[in-house]
Amino acid sequence: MKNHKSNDEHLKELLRKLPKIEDKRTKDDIFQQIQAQMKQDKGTSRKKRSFIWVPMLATACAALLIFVIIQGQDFSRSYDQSTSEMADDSDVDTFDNADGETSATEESREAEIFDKAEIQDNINEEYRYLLDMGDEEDASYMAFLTEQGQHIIPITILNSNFSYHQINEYIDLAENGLYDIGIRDIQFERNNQKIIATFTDSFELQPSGNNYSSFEKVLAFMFGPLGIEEIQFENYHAILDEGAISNNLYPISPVEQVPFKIYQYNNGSEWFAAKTDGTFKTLTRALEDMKIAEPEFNIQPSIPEDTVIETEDQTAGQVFVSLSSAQIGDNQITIQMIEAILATASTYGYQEVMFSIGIDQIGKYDLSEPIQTTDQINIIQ
Amino acid sequence: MKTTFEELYDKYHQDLFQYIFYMVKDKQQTEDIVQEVYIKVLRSYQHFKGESSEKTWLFSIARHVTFDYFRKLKRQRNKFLEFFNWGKEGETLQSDQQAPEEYVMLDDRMKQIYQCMERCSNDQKQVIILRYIQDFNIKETAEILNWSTSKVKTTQHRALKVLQQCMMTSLREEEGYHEES
Repeated sequence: MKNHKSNDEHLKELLRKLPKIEDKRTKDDIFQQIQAQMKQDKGTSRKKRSFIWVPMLATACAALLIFVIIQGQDFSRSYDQSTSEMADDSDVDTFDNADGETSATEESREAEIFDKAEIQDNINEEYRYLLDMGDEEDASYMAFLTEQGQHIIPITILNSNFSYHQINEYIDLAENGLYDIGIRDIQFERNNQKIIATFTDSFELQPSGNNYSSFEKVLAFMFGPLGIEEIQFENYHAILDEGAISNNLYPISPVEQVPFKIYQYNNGSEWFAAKTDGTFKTLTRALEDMKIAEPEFNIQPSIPEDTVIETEDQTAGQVFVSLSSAQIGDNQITIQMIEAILATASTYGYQEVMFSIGIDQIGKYDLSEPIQTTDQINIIQ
Repeated sequence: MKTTFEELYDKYHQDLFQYIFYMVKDKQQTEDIVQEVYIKVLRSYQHFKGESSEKTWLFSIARHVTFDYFRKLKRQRNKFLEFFNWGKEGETLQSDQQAPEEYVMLDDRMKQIYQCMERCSNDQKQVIILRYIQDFNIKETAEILNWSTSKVKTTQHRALKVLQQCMMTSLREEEGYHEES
C-alpha cells in the first residue's frame, strides 16, 4: 500500500505547489482595456441619463404643483410653522449650550475610554498565568500531592540554580494544601540523561500500591520534562518493592493523557492539578472531564461547564479546539481554560493548539495563530 | 490615473490575477474580472482612507467583484434551468471553464487537488486560496474577508476536511480502476 500521506500538512503542501497562473497581457494592454471600458461606461451612463430626463422633469412638475396646492390651503399649518421657527431660534441657544456640553461630554467620553483602556491594561497585567513557554533548561520541576492525595500538582520553578531542598523558599506547601510525598528526603544528582537518587533516613513513605503509584507519578512529573528516562537508586527502600524494578534501576514513565483541572485550597491560590488515577484515551474526552468539578477534593473545572467542545487533529502535532460558552471572554476563566488545554494537549503529544473561541487575543495569548503547548506548569519565578 | 494603475499593477497584479483565477478557474473570465476590479479601484482610489492596507483593500474589492460574477452566473444558470426545466443535471453547469496550460503540465495528484477545490463552497475556496496559494496569514485573510479570525480558522478547517475527503475518494476510485483493469 502506498503511503499517500493523506493528512492536512500534505494537503497544504500540495496547495502551495499549485501553479502560478500568469496574466500574459502587458501592463499597457490592460490599461488601454480599462480606459476603453471606462469610456464606454461613461457613454452608457450619459445615454441612460438622457432617457430618464423626461420622466424626472414630469415628476418634478407634479411635485411643484402639489406643493403649491398645499401651501395655498393650509394656513393654520403656516402659523404653526412660524411658532416652530421661534422655537428653532431658542433651539439655537440651546444648541450652543449643547455644543459646549457635547465637547465636555466628548472629553469625558474620551477620558472614560482612556480609563477603560488603562483598566484593561491593568487587567491584562493582572492575569495570573500558570504556564511558561520559555527555555526548558532554565526550569526545575517538582510535584506534590493534594491534601486528599487524589491529585498531583506539578510545579515548575523558573530558576536554573534551584535545589529541591529550597522549595520552602518558593512556596508554602501547607498553606497551599500541598503534601510532599518525600521528595525532599531523597538526594538527586543528575548525570546526563540519568538521575542518581539516594534515600535519606528521613524518607518515610509507607510501602503500598497506592503510595507507589503516587510516587511513580510524582517522579514522572519531576523528571519527564527534563527528558530523563531512568533513575538509579543508590540505596534500598521498601517502596521500591511495590514496582517491578530490577537492580534499583527505575524507568520513568512519561506523563500521558492527563486532564488538568484547578485545585484551590483555603488560601485561594489556584494550581493546575492532574488526577493520580485514570487517564482518558482521547483529548476530547479529557476536555469533557475538565468541565466537571470535584468539590470534595477542592477541584474546580478548568473549562466552564456549559462549554461546547469540538476538537480535530490538524496535523500530527497540531490540534484544532473550538469552544463556545457564555463564560468565555476577556477574563481569568478564559486564560485558565486556554492554559489548562495547552497543558493537557501536551500530554497527548500535541505541540500546538489552534483555538477557536470567538476571541483573537486574550492577555498574552494571540489566538489567531496556533499556540505552543508546554509541560512547564504552575510556574513559580 | 495611469500612475495609480501602474503602481497597483506592479505591486499586486500577479497576486490579484492568481486569486481571481483560482476562484473562477477560467482565464478569460479572470481577465474580465481583474479589469472590473481595476476600474472600481481607480474610481474609488481617492476615497481610500488607509484604514486597512492597500493590498487588503484591493483584495476585498476583488472579492466583491468575483462574487458579483458568481451571482450573475447563478442567475443565468437559474434562467437556463427554468427554460429547459432541468433538474439536478443542470445544477452542475459551470462557466465554460477551459483548463489553463499550467494545469495540463500538472501530475495526477496536483490535478486532483485542483479539481477537488471545486467541492469547497466559495467561502471555503477563498480561504484556501488566500491562506495557501496567496500565503496570507490568518489576520490578513480575516481583514480581506471582513471576518473574525475565528471564522477564518473554522472555514479553513472545514475546507481542508472537504479537500481531504475528496482526495481520499479520488484515490479510492483510482485504486478501484486499477484493480478492475
